[in-house]
Amino acid sequence: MYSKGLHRFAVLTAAFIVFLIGVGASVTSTGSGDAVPDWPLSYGTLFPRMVGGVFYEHGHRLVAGTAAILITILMIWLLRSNQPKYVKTFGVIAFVAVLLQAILGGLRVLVISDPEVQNTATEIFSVGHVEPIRMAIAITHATLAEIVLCMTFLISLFTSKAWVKFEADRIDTGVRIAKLYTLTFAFAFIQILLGALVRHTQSGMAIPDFPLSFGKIIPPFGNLPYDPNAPFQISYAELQFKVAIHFAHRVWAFVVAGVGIYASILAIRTSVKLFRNLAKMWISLIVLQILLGAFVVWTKLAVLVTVLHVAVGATILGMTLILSVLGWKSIKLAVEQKELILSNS
Amino acid sequence: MIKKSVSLLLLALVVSLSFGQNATLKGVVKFKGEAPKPRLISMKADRQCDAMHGGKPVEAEDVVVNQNGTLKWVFVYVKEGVKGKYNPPAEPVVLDQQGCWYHPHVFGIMVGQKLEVRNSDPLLHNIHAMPKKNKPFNIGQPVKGMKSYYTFTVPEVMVPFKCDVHPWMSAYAGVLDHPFFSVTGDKGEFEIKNLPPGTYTIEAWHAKLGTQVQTITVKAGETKTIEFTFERKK
Repeated sequence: MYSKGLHRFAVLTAAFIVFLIGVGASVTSTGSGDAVPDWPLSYGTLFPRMVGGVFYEHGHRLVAGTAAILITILMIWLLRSNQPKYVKTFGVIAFVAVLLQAILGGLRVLVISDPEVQNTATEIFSVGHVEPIRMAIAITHATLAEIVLCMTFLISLFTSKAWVKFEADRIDTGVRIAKLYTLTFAFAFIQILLGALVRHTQSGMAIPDFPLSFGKIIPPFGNLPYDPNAPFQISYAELQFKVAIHFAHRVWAFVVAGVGIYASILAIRTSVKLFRNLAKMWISLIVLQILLGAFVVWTKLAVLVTVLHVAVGATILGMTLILSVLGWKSIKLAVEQKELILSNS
Repeated sequence: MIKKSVSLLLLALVVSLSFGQNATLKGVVKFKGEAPKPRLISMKADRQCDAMHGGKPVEAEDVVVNQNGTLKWVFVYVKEGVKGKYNPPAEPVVLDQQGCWYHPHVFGIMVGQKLEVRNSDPLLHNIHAMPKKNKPFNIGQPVKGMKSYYTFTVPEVMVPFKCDVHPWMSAYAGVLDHPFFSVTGDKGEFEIKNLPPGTYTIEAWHAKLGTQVQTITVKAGETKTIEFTFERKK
């Protein structure tokens, strides 16, 4: 069942998806999402001049295209292998998700640049302006990318030698760890959504200081620094909304970290080496992620720092899923073993 | 024939008399305090753009304090008080992309008036308008000499434009349903002609320094002078 080549290819694909998410973040961070107004071609060609914003946007398209090829190969490889049916299903889901991603990416561009697409979108959703639709597509695009990532992380796990060995070890790591990591995964996914919302509503600097918020523990929502004579006026309610989602992203980070670190401490205490190592790595990544989050604010959204923050966030999500699956698998195996012992006696 | 000529003459007389009764609003936008050092923009991200400027950085136009202490690129317009309907001029407003730079940086345009966006550069640009009330658009102009046209349908102050290829390129359009607007230039002056007698709210808008308003009343034939003073935001 174990194939070294297949597993290595799955890991390569998963790593490439993390890279792709980082490249996607660089498009948003540099404001280059509309640098190429046409799709699927770029300025009518496959290779436009790679300058300025085109470098980021077309670069993202090239990396995404490569990722789609990798996932297609992975799916075909899985379907032709003797892997269990569920692993093959994950391969197909990843393939469908990556195709949807490409369409969403294209729509995100065309909903602004193509008047027909823009009119159709505003008519379908009965909105006066296309901006909420553009934002919804961008957030969905960012979220679906994480689902693609989760699929490739799972495939990497299921095709690994460690997974086979884990089955052979049959060690019960306890329901609590499995439950805690599942909760952490759900929380981390919400955090990814909040992060996408912060990025795509341009709320990254809505709270300009860290760790405090406007010099206080909780932002003064009733007394925010509001300029009624700003050149591009937003309503006070809009300002409150931006501050609220930014603050929620901060607070939620500590919730994710709290539950995840607790789960990881329990995992480190188990006798399963794989579990222990992954849990240690998880703690290291979450500490790094919180630091990167702080530096995002301190550097006023420096592109490299923001890109790393998004990429590390994606890696944490994928790793949490792996830890959660391993947790439940250990319980299942332990139950099977107990039943076997009982039936033998 | 004679009848037609007389009618035209009378019409011209009525028009000139009515304009003669209108007022003119003029003034200057001053900058208080020490002028900020111009922000320097490197165009190294696109070698062709950089070469057009001899490899030297270009001064940003976000806050331009003139030599006489006045402020350039302030959009001054009648915000409230205009009555009646005004037809847009037939000639388009031109927004040119030259030297990887928008010309002009700030401009006014009427609802229904054509906006002509030109690419005078031998390289690709995209013109991305990001209005909140009008429909946004994003047009690619990969070839020199390309022209694209767009018309705004509702008043909106201001509509930002950017080139996503060259992120330093920015321009702003004030879209109005009347012709009473002006943009300050190298002397910080503005002039709004043919304003019917009445009371108006006048707003001065600057891309970085924000907005200021004044309420004025003008009488027939009067030339009113007002002044705005902006200072650096803390």
